[in-house]
Amino acid sequence: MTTKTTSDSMIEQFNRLIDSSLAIEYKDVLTAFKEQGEFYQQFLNEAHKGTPDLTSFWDIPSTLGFQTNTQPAFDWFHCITGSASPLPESLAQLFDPSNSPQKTQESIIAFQAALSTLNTIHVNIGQQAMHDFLQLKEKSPTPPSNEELCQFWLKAGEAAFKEACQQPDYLQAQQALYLAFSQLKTVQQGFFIQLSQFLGLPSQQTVDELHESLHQLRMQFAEHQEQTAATIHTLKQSIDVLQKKQ
Amino acid sequence: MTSSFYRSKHWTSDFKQLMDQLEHIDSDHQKSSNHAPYELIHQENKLRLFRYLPLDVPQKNTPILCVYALINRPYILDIVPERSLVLRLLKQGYPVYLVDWGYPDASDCMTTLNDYINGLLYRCVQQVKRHSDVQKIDLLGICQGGVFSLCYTALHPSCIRQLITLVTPVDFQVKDNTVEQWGKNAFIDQKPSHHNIPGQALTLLFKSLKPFQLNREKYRKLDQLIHDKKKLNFFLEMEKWINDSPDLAGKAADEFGRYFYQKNQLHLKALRLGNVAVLLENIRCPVLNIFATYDHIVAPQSSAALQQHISPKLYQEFKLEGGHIGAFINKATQQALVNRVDAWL
Repeated sequence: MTTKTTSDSMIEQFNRLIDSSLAIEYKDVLTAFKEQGEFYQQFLNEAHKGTPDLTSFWDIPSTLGFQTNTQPAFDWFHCITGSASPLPESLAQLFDPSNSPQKTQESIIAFQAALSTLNTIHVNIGQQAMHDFLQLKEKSPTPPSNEELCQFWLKAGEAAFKEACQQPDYLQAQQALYLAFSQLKTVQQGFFIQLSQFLGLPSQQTVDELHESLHQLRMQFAEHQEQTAATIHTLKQSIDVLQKKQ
Repeated sequence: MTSSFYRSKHWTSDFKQLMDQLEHIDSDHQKSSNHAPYELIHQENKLRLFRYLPLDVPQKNTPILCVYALINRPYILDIVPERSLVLRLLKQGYPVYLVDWGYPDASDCMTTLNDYINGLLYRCVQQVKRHSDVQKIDLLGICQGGVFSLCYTALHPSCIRQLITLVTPVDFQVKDNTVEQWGKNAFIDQKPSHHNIPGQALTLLFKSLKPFQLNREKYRKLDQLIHDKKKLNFFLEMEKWINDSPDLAGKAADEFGRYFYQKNQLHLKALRLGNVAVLLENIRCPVLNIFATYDHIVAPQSSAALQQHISPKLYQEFKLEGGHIGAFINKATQQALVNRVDAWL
């Protein structure tokens, strides 16, 4: 027979709420508080212990919510393309560099290279932040409280990031990432053109033309509505004037 | 899963309290009670034009049309009653109208900046004029909505009585602004695109500007929220708003990136919409330019550049001590803002 601890009942309640019909935005808030609570507790434990390497606490990808160890680039890809669900395995294989044409391989390699450069800069940011954090800690006249340690962590992190993110190497890496991503999108479009031809679906060009026509129709209709409303308004005003005269 | 984190009794108890509060929150009640009442007066595709219902105070003659950015949602102007810019304007007796651009989908990817400014916004202004039976209205443009309002007023000066721009960029190439640096990079590819930009990517971009502050620090001080219902409610509404980012219509987003961030055409007097030059010098009405001194998204000097384009007789500016959003939702700065607007209009 085991006794339920406070943390067990808390986890139970958390899981129950996450599985419940609670609004998604509240679930997100709960998850964020839980994750960050855990983060700060780990950070404070390590900081108090005097762990020599704290750089991981300023890791940018994980700070932004990317699980870098398990999903290196795919989350980025899905996030930027807006694709919510993963590709079916058969199609995903076409994006595998070993199965794809040279252009695709080059684009994926360029994308990964740009990500890798950015990751190197992110590691440097972590190191700079840790250096600044330790200095702030040392300068503190009394042993810093948990609150002060968290303030030092924030100050060091934001300063290191601000310094790095406007430097030419960061901007160049970012540019390379955008370009590589753009090339990947071109490859993706080429892939979908092939796929739609293969499946007998309308081509991208047809879809684009349809969007353009629909858009033009909407605009023309709205303009016509506006003209009609303006005419009716003017007529009403004229009628009002006439009625007043009578 | 038991880490040392759960050994922190205070945190555990605070988190439990948060869960209890959220568990019993009545979201429908929250939604209905948080916003000033309004009526729909016009709709076109995804766009909605609302008129807020007047309060029982003496009414001013000229309506204010609020134009928010395409990024994020305009309900930030009425996020909770105690921080509602709309409500404060209504209390001063201004008839308030609001453009809600809606959530573009793939069928809107061909919408251009010209469509937004000379089409959708133009028709909203005409609707407000007719609805309130006036020849000219006042425009209040916020952030990118301010850019649209400037362009609109330059192109259609006869429709606008007075213009207020709030945290609005004009010079897109000022030094040391991360958004402007990154914005230039994002459109480095020479090929114009018409694919919509996912809202999720934009949220990520803005959260990346201050990564540690916006992704971790703000979730640290749980104890300050759970003991104050209003604070918690505001926090929850803000969280919802931050993550509620519509996709951007592809063509317009691409044009905005190239014309403004990359080429700085508005400031350099090179912008053309619908084949007509957009020259800020053509603005002939009084302009009140309000910007925030700690704005990390729109640098104060970017907004202040408007002064170079408007006749000194017509131009006034007002600086608020705050950030991009805080400038108009922080209680103190909001009051200062409304007082200044009221004194100026």
